[in-house]
Amino acid sequence: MKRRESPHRKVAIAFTLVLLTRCATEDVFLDPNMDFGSLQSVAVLPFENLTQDDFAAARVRDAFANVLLATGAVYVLPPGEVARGIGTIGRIPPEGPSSEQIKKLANALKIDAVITGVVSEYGPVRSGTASANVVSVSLQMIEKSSGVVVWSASSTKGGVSVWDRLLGGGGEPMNTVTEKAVNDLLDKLFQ
Amino acid sequence: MIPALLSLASCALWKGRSAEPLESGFLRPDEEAVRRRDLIAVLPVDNLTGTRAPLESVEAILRAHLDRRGFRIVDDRTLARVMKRYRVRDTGSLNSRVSGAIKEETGAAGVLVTSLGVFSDEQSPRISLLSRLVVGGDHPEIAWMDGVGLAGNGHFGMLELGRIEEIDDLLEVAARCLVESLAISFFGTETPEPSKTRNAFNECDSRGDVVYSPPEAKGKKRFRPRNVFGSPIVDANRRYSMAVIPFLNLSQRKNAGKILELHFVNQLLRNESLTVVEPGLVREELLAHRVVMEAGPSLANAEILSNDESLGVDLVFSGVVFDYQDAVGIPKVDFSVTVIDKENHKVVWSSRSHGTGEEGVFFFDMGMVHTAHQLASEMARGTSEALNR
Repeated sequence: MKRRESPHRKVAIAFTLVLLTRCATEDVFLDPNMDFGSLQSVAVLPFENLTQDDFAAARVRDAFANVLLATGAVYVLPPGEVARGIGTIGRIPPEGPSSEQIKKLANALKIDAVITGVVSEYGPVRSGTASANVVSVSLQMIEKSSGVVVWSASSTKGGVSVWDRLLGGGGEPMNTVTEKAVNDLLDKLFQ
Repeated sequence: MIPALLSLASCALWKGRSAEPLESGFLRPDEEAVRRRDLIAVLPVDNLTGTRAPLESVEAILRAHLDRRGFRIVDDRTLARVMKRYRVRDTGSLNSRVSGAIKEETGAAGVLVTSLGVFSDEQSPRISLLSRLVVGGDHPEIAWMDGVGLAGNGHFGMLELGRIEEIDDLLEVAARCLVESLAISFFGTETPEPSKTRNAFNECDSRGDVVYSPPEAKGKKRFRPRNVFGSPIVDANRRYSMAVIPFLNLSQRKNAGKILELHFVNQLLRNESLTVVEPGLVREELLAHRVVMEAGPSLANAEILSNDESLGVDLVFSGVVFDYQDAVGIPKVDFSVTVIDKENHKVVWSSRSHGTGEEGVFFFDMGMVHTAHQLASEMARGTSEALNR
């Protein structure tokens, strides 16, 4: 007589597989040796823009800098000041600043860390007849003295949801999606 | 039956607006700035529309309304001679040299500086004017400021009887409102008296009427900044001097940075804790130091303005504008602001604001904001109120 397999066992196996998959795609790195409480001030460098909107990177950078400053956890330099500092160290390549450049920038601006980033998606995305706004950002924090990455994270928010497909509507406004992505990144920074 | 209902409805609307007394609201009650028989010089209108606009017509209509209201105006030929002699090109602001020259050579007690933000008759006519009266000769100061933003399809009332189809008619309403606001602020009564509170004021609303705004009135929640950082080092009981720098413009709209600067000067002037410097003086200092703000607010620029040998201001207000859509369609405004202080050389205030005219509107366009002028004005007011908390 064949033994009947318990349905609960199948569910447990499926759940374990999903959990393992989720762990495999974790998109946050936090250096365990870094004392994040010692960070007093940071500079948010201009983000690299991989989208078709010329000002996407500037918008996301501004939103991120404002929300980070609003947390009160660190002091964020104003963008003009960052630009002045970049002017003193020379041109930063598109791939990001070198360790030497980070150290020079930190000395010039008297900061503890630098945040760089890439905006890879910003704007409407279509799926069939439905469309919605999407933002995809990835950030890195580089500590001044060692020049190593102590935190990195990415976030993608927005996109075409089930409700957008069923009911239409165009999704959420761009600024709302951007705020969600920024808040998600900050949650990953302060976790 | 229907005429009776109509008249009842219109009475209710009229009563709702004029129930508040139109008191005289001085911005500077301790100054004998301008009186009824003093001369006023009216500068040519500054074009911030980003396109061609009939500036002479706008100026002519303004002058006509000023004349009708009893103001004495310097004749345009005399003023043109002074402007030519002193090579005045920028009519949107007043520096110390030009202000002193106008006072000395024309005898004008004040100079009316007007900027045209929007002049569009695509789809539905829209107009935006920001005007201020600058007094003080060699040390120009703003004595009065107001703005008006109107759309032909806004507040057209029952059966669309109030809809305005022609841009010229809209301009008449706008000019009348501005001049009335100026007149009430200074000549509200036969013998001008200071207002009971320092920052009580009259302003043009979105219907083109002058309404009284008591100091305790607060703006709507939807126009307040979304994210705010406020440093506790700013003393709420102290009075600060502030310079407003033109915003860095990252939008598609030309002159959006200057327009937002004016909106903030207008709203910050009403803040009891702040004395706002005339934008012309700020421009003069930035030009003298060859400052080009390519990337937004910086400590170096703030230091130039807060230096005691230049303007010596306590706070420098600047920001970035990302979006300013006003000519057609639903208005949209998106900006962030930063305030840097003199003593600590740090950011003491930072906020991000964005909104559209149709946010929070669900039934029959109730609460719709039809012009970017009105939207920007409300958002600037929301930021100014948040600054004061």
